[in-house]
Amino acid sequence: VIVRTLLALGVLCLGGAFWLRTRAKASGRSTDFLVVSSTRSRPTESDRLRFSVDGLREAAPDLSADHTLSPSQRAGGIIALTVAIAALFVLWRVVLLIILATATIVYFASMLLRIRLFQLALNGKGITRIDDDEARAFPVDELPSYSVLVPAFREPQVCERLVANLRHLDYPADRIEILLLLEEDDSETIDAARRAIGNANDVRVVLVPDHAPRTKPKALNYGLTHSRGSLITIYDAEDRPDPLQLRKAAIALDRAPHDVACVQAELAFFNPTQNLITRWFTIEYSMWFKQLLPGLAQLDAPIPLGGTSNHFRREVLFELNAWDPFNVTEDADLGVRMRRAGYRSGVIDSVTFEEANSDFINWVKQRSRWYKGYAQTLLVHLRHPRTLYRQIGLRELILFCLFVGGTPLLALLNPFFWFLMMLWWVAHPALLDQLMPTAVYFMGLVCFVAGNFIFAYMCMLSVRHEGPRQWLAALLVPLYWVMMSIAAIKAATQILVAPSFWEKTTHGLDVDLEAQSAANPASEAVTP
Amino acid sequence: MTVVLPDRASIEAREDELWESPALPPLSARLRSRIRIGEVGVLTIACLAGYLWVGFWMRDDLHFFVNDALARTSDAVFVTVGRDPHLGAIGFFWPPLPQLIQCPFVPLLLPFGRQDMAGPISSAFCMALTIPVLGRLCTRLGLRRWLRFGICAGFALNPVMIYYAANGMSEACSILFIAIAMLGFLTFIRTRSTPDLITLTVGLSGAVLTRLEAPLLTVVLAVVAGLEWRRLRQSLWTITLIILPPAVCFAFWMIVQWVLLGSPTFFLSGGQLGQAGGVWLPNTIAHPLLAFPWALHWALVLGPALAVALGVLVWRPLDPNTRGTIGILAGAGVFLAIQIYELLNNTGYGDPRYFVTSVIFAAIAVAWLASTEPTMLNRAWNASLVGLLVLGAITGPRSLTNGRLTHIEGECHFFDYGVAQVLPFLGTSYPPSSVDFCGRNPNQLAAWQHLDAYLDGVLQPRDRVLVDNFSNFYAVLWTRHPNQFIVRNDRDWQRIAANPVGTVTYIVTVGDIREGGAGVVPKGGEDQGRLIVNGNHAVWKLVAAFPGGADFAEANATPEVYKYVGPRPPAAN
Repeated sequence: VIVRTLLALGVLCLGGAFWLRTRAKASGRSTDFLVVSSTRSRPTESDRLRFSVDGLREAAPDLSADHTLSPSQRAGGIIALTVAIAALFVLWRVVLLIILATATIVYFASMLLRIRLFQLALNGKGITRIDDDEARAFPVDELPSYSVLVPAFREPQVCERLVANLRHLDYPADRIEILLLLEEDDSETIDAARRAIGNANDVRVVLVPDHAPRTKPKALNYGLTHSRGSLITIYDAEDRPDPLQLRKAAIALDRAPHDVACVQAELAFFNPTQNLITRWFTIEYSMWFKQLLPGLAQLDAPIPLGGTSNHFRREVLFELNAWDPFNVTEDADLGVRMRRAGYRSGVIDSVTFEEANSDFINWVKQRSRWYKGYAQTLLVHLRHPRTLYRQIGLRELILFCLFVGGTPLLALLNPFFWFLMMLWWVAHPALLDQLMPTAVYFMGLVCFVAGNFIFAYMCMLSVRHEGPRQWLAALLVPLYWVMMSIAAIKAATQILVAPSFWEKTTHGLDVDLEAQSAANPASEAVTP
Repeated sequence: MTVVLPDRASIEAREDELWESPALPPLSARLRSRIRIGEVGVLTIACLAGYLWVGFWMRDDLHFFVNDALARTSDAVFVTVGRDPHLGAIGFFWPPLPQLIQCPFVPLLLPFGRQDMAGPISSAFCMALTIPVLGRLCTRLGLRRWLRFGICAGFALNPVMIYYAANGMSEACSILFIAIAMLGFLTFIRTRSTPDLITLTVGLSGAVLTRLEAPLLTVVLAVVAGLEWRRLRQSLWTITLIILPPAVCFAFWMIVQWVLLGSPTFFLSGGQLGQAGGVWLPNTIAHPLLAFPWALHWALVLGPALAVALGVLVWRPLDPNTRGTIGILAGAGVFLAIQIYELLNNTGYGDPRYFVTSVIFAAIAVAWLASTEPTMLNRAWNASLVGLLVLGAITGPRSLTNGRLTHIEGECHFFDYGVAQVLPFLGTSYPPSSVDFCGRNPNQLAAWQHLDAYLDGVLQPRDRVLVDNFSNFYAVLWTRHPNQFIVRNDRDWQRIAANPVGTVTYIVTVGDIREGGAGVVPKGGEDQGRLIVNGNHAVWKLVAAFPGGADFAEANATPEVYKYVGPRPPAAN
């Protein structure tokens, strides 16, 4: 007992010293922020860049992810960790029990939430539907001006297809501008883009200055300062949007109450049948955009927006200081900030086809970035939980934590619980009996038996009208969860060492498949 | 168009505005806008109150209970507050859902010492919830208000349904899930939509965890709902999607039985289906060829509307609505078919209560026929269909209490001694049952209450009471210390009973423990093993017997309390 107590005290002392050091660092932090000039009617390049990089950081530093943890979060984390480690020496059973019980409760609540969202989405009310005829018949004079922002970096191979896809957008030429946002030192992509555009002036290349951080949101912010449309949308370089999507979004925003600041179009993949990973990815996206987001919209909860095909009212973007250039899931963060500001997001029934990641390594890179970004977003918005509670309410706060925080957390915890389960089957350790009191045991059992099956079943339902290979992929979806856990572990390590590092996703991996399809037309068709 | 970047002052001004809490209307206003109670809702609430009242009346005034209902409630109490293992009490003989549904009620009833009422309360809730499901089906089928109300009332006020709502058995639970499944089935065959498919699978999954007939019901409904010859591949996937959740539920239950009882198919052995020999059959059903008319008779006296559905099917087999009619009749037919099979194999009880699901199928058939059979005399047709529900509400109870047709104890007690006092025409005018079940229950209840009162007097906080899992686990129902009771699965029970010192202090079982009484032999099988006392412990018989306390009023089946005293030969009390 004496040794354990001494060890616990030692850990407490170490933690205390670390906390004091953190406080000292925090107190020396500069608060002398830059001030955006308001005296000029036309911004200079310096203003644009400053807005792109520092706009949010200056206006609302507590909402910026330029530092993942605020000083108080860091101090609180250190204290909690120290106390937990110290308590492990003295009351290790109780500490482990609390940790297991908490994780199980999060699991259980997340399971219930996802079932509820799925159930809500089934009524079809969460999606605004505007059919093609209605979109075409909308008076041209009433259509607002539109800016389409398309950031691209080191993607010369997709430029030609990208420009062709963008030119398919059905919107009056005098009311649309397409801005291709390219990094100024990315000469290959710049050349490829200029070749693809040719002499036409319907697509404009905007060169984004080489300035840290080199992230997609920074490019978007910069592009925003060059844009003129009253509605703004973004597409990724490999996107193939529904040609009528801009019309549908404009109509939806026109009809929606003014507090609806954004509508999100559905994202799907044009290469779902490329391999098993793309099939799983397709199923997941189908669940995400057809069930979970419409469900969240019905609950008025903060919606973590998808990376592309979200259509904003221009003034709202400026009011909120646009995207956070330091957040690697700037889309999800912006959705939460909009909700905090009292705005809502909607979902429209229009599809943008993207390229599903077909390569395992590339997929892990992309997914770990998403998980890292979700964790960043959670930590940023929980810097002042009481403020967040006042702004969005208790229910939405819980929904936000469960959805945005629960997604990466559960993927991270899965391997641990799988290990516990295997340990139980192999060794039947008595310790596990003690760590799983009745309520925790039953919750865990329900999550394991019912939860896992229900999630897999929801995936099967989402591909009800697809072909047999997609059904088979749905049956095998638990293997996809293993991939998610690998990505979550990577994200967890990255958030400690490189929280704002943007791991680039490689696009154009479906090109080989297209060549194969062209050579062999009898092979399985690629949707759409 | 010139872009003007926002200045800091405007950002800050907007920030103050943005960071204000959004105003929400008061909770009461939001609730009022969401809750709308129609006539079916009023009927549901009234019926729930009525079912609960009847449940307490049966238990407290008629001193009546069904043994199996008490066994299920005991399972629920052990699961909720008993000692480990947590799942030990589920699924000994029966599918587990009716027991699990009782679990939330147990903690609420414990402070009042009335955990024995968890069963009737849960069955009352299940039956009451069936009413809005039926109402929802009528709405989806496009029936008018009065007809919807008539069908719901014709079902809910049927005395047989009232009895099963109040007796704590599994029928109410199965009727609820059958209603949900049929709601999904009849809407899915029209819409082919995912929400309706989910409703169907939820209903079937619940039914599978409630009744042994449900797996066959699942297959039948899945095939009828999903099969489309023109799109065979798609329809096979639909059938798979329908069958998968109930199949997983069934598999999970089998795994539980495997872990707890040593056999995944325990439900197919032992007392559940084994060698029952039709104990509730009258002598008239002696020949196997009479099995089908016997089963058909029970289905039709409980649900006469099924005959009309059968007639419509035969009359217009190629009608677009035939699929729905086939589904309803096939669903009801599953219960008939299994009873016939059991009778032909001499493995069934011949208990008419297995046909009470005909009542819900009949109500659904009425709703379906009213929505699909346009006639010149619509109102008369609809009224006659509802009239068939009323007819079933009269013929059902009268047949169940007819001693020449059956010898079932619960119904005769309820109708002969209870309902007949209020509504004489529902009671029997036939010769009474030759089996003396009706009068024995007060003694049984008193015996258990007496035993629990005794145990409560001697139990110390650290004592644990081991009870066997066949005859004596009712002992947990009236004690003030249910958390000190242990009921183990069969394998563990024999191990612990053989070497209990240090684990348990008392044991409640039947007969002579040294010889292995009925309590340690799982129901229906001597071959499950006998208790073997290894000679390393001794028992002290505390209480000799409480007459009439076990499953049947037999001299060797009365519960006895023993105390483990140490590793020496038993000392006499």
